[in-house]
Parts: sequence; C-alpha cells; structure tokens
Amino acid sequence: MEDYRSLLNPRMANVVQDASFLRRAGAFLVDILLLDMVVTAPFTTILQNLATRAERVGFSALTYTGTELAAAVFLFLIIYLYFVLFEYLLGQTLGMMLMNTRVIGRNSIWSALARNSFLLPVFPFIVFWIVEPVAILFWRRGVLEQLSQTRTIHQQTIVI
Amino acid sequence: MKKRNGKPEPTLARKFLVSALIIIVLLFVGALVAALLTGGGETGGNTAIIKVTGIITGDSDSSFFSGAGASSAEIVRELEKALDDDSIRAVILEINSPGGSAVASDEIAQAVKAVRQQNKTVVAWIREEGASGAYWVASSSDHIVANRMSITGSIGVISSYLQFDRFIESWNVSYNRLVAGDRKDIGDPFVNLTESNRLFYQAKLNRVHQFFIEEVARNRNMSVEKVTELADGQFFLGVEAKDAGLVDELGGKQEAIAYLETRGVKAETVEYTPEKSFLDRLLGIIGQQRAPSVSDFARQQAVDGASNAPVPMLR
Repeated sequence: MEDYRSLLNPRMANVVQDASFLRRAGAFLVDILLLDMVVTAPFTTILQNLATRAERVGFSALTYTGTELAAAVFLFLIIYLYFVLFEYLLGQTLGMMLMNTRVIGRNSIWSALARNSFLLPVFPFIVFWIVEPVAILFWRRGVLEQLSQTRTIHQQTIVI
Repeated sequence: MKKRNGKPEPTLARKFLVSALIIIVLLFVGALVAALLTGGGETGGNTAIIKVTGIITGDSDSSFFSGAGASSAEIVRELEKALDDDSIRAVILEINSPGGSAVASDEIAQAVKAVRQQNKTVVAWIREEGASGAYWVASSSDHIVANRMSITGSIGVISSYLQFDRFIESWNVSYNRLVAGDRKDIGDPFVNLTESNRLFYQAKLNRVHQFFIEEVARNRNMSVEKVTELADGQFFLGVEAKDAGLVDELGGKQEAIAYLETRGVKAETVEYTPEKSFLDRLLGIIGQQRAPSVSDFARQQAVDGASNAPVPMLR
C-alpha cells in the first residue's frame, strides 16, 4: 500500500553539483555571442579598421592608434561589467540561465569582480585564460572561484 | 525557495527586468563611449575614405523622410579635416552619385584641389555612378578609377519644372501675378514660359555648361574642344569613359589603393564620416534604407526659395 501511494505521489529531489566544463563553456559562448550582437555593436566601426589593417600587415606588425586602444579597453570593460552585474544581481548570466547553471556562495560585488577578473586583458589576469579552463576541466572549480568563495553549480530536479 | 546568502531566488519577472536593465545600461554606455571615441569618425590610418553618395546638395537634409544625400558642406568639412590631419597622406573619394547641384559640385571639387595642393594624393573611385556633378568632383582628383560598367560622364546641365498655368485655367482659377521686373518670376509654375525667358534661361544653362566643360578640360589635361565633343550630356560606361580619356583606370578599391602605392603611400584606410548627433545617427540608419526619389530633386529645386528660377542641376 505504501509503495502504491509513492507511485501516485512521486517524491522529487533537487540534485546540485558543480557545473561541468561543457555546460559552462556553452553558457560562456552564449553570453559572448549575445554581447557580440548587442552590447559591442557600437565599437564595430572602430575595430573594423583595425581588423582590416591586421589582415593586410599581420598582427605582429600592427600598430594601434590611441582611439583603437581605448575602444578595445572599453570593449573588455563592458564585457567584464556584463558578467559582474548579472552574477551579482541575479546570480547567473543569460547564458547560465539557458544552460541551467548558477553561482552560489559569497554574494558581494567584490567576489563577482574577482571571479570574473580573468576577462581583464592585462597581466596577471591573462594567466587565468589557461589556468581557469584547466582547473574547471579537472576539478570542476576554477582558481578564481576558490579565491572568491563561490561555485558554479548545475541544479536539476529528479524523481526518487 | 532556494537562497543565496539569505536572499530569496529572484522571480522570473525580476530576472527579466534586471536583465533588460543591464543590457540597456551597457548598450547605452557602449554607444556613448564609441560616439565619444569616434568623434568625427576618424580612427587612425593614413588614407581617408570620404563618401560622395546620393544626390549632391549644398546642405545636409537628413531628416527621417528624406533619403541620404551628399551634402557639399559635410564633404568639404571632411576634406578639410583630411587636409589638416598630418597623419593623412591620401584621400579616396568613394563616389556613387548621379550628380546634383552645380554649385555644390564645384564646392567639393575646389576642396579636393585644396587637398591636392598640400601634396596629398586624391583618388576618385567611381562605383555604380559618378555622373555629371559627381564626375566634375571626380575629375578634380589625381586619378580616376571606375568599374567597367559604371555610369559616368554625362557632362551637361539640366533644369526643369512643372508648369500649371493651363491646368489652373481649366479649373477657372486665376493666378494674380504682381511682379516688378519682367524676368522675376521666371520658372514660376503658374506662369507660361515665354520664348524670350526660355532663351534667357537657356543662355544661363549654356554658361554653366561651359564652366563644366572648361573645368573638366583643365582637371583632365584635355583640350576644351575634345571635352566639348564628349559633353553632349551622354553618359559613358566605365570602359567607354576609359577609351575617351575621362577615367584613368578600370577597377575598384584595390586598384585605387594600388595607385596610391605607386605614389609612395602604403594605404591604411580610415573612413571619414560626418559628425552626427545620436538622433541623427538613429535617423540615418533608417534613412539609408531609402533610395533617393523624385521628391528629392523637387526639394532641391525648392531650396532656392527666394527666386522662382529652377536651380541648374548637373545630373
């Protein structure tokens, strides 16, 4: 009788685990595509000239004007702000919403700034372009996440 | 309800609202910073690309309802910027225009010559059309490159208007004409154009035509007689214009850049665009979708408000 009742009213359970590398990469890709389409559009004309010159002379011989350098810096700052604001205010970016992942742990503007600092294109933060994917791939938690006392989790509901 | 640091999970409505707010704020900040950085549109490089697109007019008229045109005031301003900018060594005039006002075309041509006088090379790159007034502008450059199928030449002057005098008569409407000076209302659509006035106005057009011929002859190092032969108003395809000596080379942007290299300029192009307010930019995006119409020509003719005389057009 007890078993029969449990079939009629199945019990649900939330399973929370660190988000996988693929799920996180997917979310990041969605965010970047979205940023490319909407937020970074005003910079296209400035950076197009840079891209055209890069095609002609190659990246090694490329020289930048002050305007182009400023545009590139602002572009990275806007991308950085996007991740910081979404994670601080909602706990997840639009890509994370789509991939059903979220940030848990310490919720402060400082932790959001710290965990996304790999987006800053200056040393030493560029080191994390290599370190973070490797750490996430092997331990499912990045170094910056540990420093900011946060985790990126994937949550799903299962029937038990 | 799941919590993060004691805060409840945001509702779907809050998620939507906050997401929209963040995107709008970032978009606004991005647009603001990009607008501040671009300023007049220059972003580095040593070769300015200045567009002459649409009907050539004196002043800009980029309202929501009008099509994009080539304002001589704006183009001259861009040419002056290129002239003053020491990093700019050459200018490519990207032309796609059927011509327009004679005065506006001459203003641009004179500004082009001023740039050349400062030892900066100017190349005219004619795309689909570089006819009449636009050809006048092109002829003032060092070198003209045109596609073999471009429409160019059309060295002639035209002026036209609709005449309604018999139309209003047939509707029993009278037009009261109060004029001091016999030729004051020349071109008035409600007054019949007399033979005397027609000859008078034709003489003016002939004079403008002669200016056009002489200017092209001087710019292209051709004899006035030779240009007069070509100046019956006919248009030439790019390939025909090359044979006639009206253009120097067949091709496009790459040929224009290659020519600059022969003049010692390894071109790094940068687009010069007129400074526009945020609203102008927004309206411009919509306005660009619309091709120039007959009303644009009519508007140009109406510009000369104080006099009824139709404006001589090079188109």
